[in-house]
Amino acid sequence: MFLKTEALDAGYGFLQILRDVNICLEEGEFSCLLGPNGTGKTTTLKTIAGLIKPMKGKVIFNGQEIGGLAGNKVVQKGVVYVSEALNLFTNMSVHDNLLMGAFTVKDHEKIKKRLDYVYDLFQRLKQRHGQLAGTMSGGERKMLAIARGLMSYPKVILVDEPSFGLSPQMTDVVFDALDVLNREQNLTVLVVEQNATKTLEATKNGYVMENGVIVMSGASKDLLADEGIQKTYLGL
Amino acid sequence: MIIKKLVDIWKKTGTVACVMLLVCLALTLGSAITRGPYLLVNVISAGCMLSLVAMGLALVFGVMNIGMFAHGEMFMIGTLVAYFVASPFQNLLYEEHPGLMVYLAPLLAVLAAGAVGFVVGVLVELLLFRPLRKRTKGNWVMNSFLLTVGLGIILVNGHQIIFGANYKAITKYLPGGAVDILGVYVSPDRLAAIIISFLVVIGFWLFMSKTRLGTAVRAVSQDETGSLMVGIDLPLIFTLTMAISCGLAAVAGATLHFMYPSYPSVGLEPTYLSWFVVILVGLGNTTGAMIGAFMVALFKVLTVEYVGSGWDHVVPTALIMLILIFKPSGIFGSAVRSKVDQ
Ligand SMILES: Nc1ncnc2c1ncn2[C@@H]1O[C@H](COP(=O)(O)OP(=O)(O)OP(=O)(O)O)[C@@H](O)[C@H]1O
Ligand SMILES: [Mg+2]
Repeated sequence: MFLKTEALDAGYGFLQILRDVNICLEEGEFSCLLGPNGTGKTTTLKTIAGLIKPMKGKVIFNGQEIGGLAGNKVVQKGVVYVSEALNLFTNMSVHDNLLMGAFTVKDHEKIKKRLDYVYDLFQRLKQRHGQLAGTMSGGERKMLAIARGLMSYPKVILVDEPSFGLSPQMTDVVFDALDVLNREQNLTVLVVEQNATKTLEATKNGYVMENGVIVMSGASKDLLADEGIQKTYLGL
Repeated sequence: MIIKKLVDIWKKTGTVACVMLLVCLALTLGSAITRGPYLLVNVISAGCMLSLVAMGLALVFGVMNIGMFAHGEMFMIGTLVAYFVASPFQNLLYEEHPGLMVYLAPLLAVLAAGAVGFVVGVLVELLLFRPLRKRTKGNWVMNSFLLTVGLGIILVNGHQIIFGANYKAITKYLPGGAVDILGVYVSPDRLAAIIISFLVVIGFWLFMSKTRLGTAVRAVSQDETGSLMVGIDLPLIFTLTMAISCGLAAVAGATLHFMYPSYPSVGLEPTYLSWFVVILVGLGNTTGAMIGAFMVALFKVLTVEYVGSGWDHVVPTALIMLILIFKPSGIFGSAVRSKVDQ
């Protein structure tokens, strides 16, 4: 297993949200985590990314326990998180945001190479490299957040609701980019999504969470065909 | 680049600053025939010193969200360190051939004060704010503010208990008489103070805009979670920020020790003045703090000149209150928690 959580419990203060969450991602896998609002999808990603400490259980990456490490250490290990709120540096230019994304990279050549790569991936960012991040449109900001995440040469990227607030075309752009990264860079991707159809079509494996518990998991196409899933998430 | 920035700042200051500057300019020009140059020197030296103190205050607010009320006490620590380092060399001032040491001693005093201030800043963060940060969920601004008030009281009384309440003063730092600059006589100490604060401000600016750590500090001021997500070590940046801020105040105290003898509550005036500045320009804005420092210095000097020396706190305060009534977010219009932009 490349990245996995073992019997993970997590929450906020005394409030436990996640119960016994087991997620396994193989290297280079494109997976998704689905579920209704407020079940703990974001909490799962935050716990893996080191923004919340687990109450119990383990997060293992590449054979190493990373559960409980501070967020900056997790990034150094190669696991990067793109939050729903994006957390961009709004008063810095697009270019400077990308450079901040490469904070853990010391080699200037490597930074430049990655910069060219993400500018190539998201042409829009290249055109607007001097603009302040805070004045970008919602879709552009989402691209910037993903691009910033890529700057640290991550091995795993966790993306929280990439399609939230985006038009269908923009959503396609973002999903295509993730797909390209997954294929070209062998990047392991875990997305949390509301849009179940599109996500299950794009990904290989999926997990379904309800009330902090993983209730179902398997190949995305099987989930897509599952009657229970169709009723609850696809409205069929 | 710099011009664009200046234009930007100019746009942000808006009409309030315009009117204010015009009034001040008219006043200065009116007196230019006789006292103008002297006033100018006073404004520059007071402004430089206040910049150092106020920029640190703004930095700590912008990055750590702490309303630091013990900031003047760091100034006090600076004066105290400078006193102990410089006073053994005072007799050199009156020797026929004092040698190099007479110039090195003041420099040493300033450097030592900066170093001690830096270390005190590190300790303050590690011993006070880090434990508090672990336990505070909401109410951080209020809790940390109260902690700094307590810290101020402890430092003032600590000074009194350990070193006594008397004035610990040096006569001056540098030998020689006043220097004639375009008809204005400026003491060497004052000239040195202006040069040192100028260099320190430039150094600070270079650090914030050109270095990896400096950019990290700016990033943290804009988004803490985002900083963590790109791999910035938050505790390290917090410690560094507090240390730099305290170090700057201590350097200001040491540089101005020839004017401010060290006594327990010598930090009161720098605290109040730097708070005037950051309230005036909007909390957390370091560039603004530098400009604001010169404005407050101008208010102060003009008040002393035209109204009387007893009024030098009253008039600036009243002016600032007036500005705040019309523009509550400060003249640079930043929100309560602002950004540290270059
Ligand atoms: N900082 C917090 N403090 C306390 N409770 C929180 C906090 N953040 C989230 N929660 C709670 O944890 C639960 C799970 O939240 P989470 O954000 O993980 O849900 P989610 O599955 O991502 O939902 P959504 O689809 O709406 O984004 C919710 O009930 C939420 O109210
Ligand atoms: Mg969520």
